[in-house]
Amino acid sequence: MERMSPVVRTVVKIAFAPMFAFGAYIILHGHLTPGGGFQGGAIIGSLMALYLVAFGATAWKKKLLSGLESGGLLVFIGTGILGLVSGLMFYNFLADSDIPIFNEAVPTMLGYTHSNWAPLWTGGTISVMNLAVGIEVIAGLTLIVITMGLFAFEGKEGG
Amino acid sequence: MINNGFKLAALLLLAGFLTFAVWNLREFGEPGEKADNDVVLYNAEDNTTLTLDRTAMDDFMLDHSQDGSSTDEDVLENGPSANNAVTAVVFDYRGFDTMGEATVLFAAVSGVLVSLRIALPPKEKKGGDA
Repeated sequence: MERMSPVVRTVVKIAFAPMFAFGAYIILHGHLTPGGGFQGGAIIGSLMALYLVAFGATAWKKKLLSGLESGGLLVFIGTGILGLVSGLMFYNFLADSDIPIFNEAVPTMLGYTHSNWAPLWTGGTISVMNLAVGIEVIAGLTLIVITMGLFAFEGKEGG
Repeated sequence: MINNGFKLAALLLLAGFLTFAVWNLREFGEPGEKADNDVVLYNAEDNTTLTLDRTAMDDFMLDHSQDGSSTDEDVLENGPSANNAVTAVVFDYRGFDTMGEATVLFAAVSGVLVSLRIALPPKEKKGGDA
């Protein structure tokens, strides 16, 4: 795919960091604020589409993206199956436990002026699965855009 | 071809169904307004029934989604410890549905990758970038 004009490329360069930060915020705060892995992944995925349209699609780390996509899904399913250790599928075995992965408890709402306050390090398996789904969605959408861009311009550049 | 009268009849039928569904919706912001659709649970062991309000499940989610007391013996009493109740439902209580959703996404990406792959030229340079 051909690159676009310097105007488009400059705008995309400027908008890249804020959009990426916003998408990462949506994914990381999935258990605290509206949003989550799917939504934040779609934001960053559309950012990648914008980047590839502006700068031209190449076979840009397709192996890595495929691995990230499969790995995200495997982490998601594995986290769900690990809940079987406690007896239930998708049991939140990390929440308020001794395993130091997103294991803080949500504080009671009495002591805080803001009624919907909680630290980021909460959520247990929910946060882990949000991250996994976010990585999977980012990699999947980027892969789709790369593949379609390469397919459409196959004749011009020979893949 | 289907004539226009049939299309119009189908459209009106759909509109009728949707309007009928809107009449049966709960009042917005007023849980428990309609009590004619209670949930009845049946206990097979002692042959008793337990009638729950229609919003009992919503209240259960809202009450338990922010708890994180995994020290309890009964695992059903433990909440997912997420401040966002919607995420608690999507990723914890209904995590199996979300797993299907993620699998559907994976299958869609795999289908695009397979159906839009670029065929290599027959006898020219093989390989190249992946």
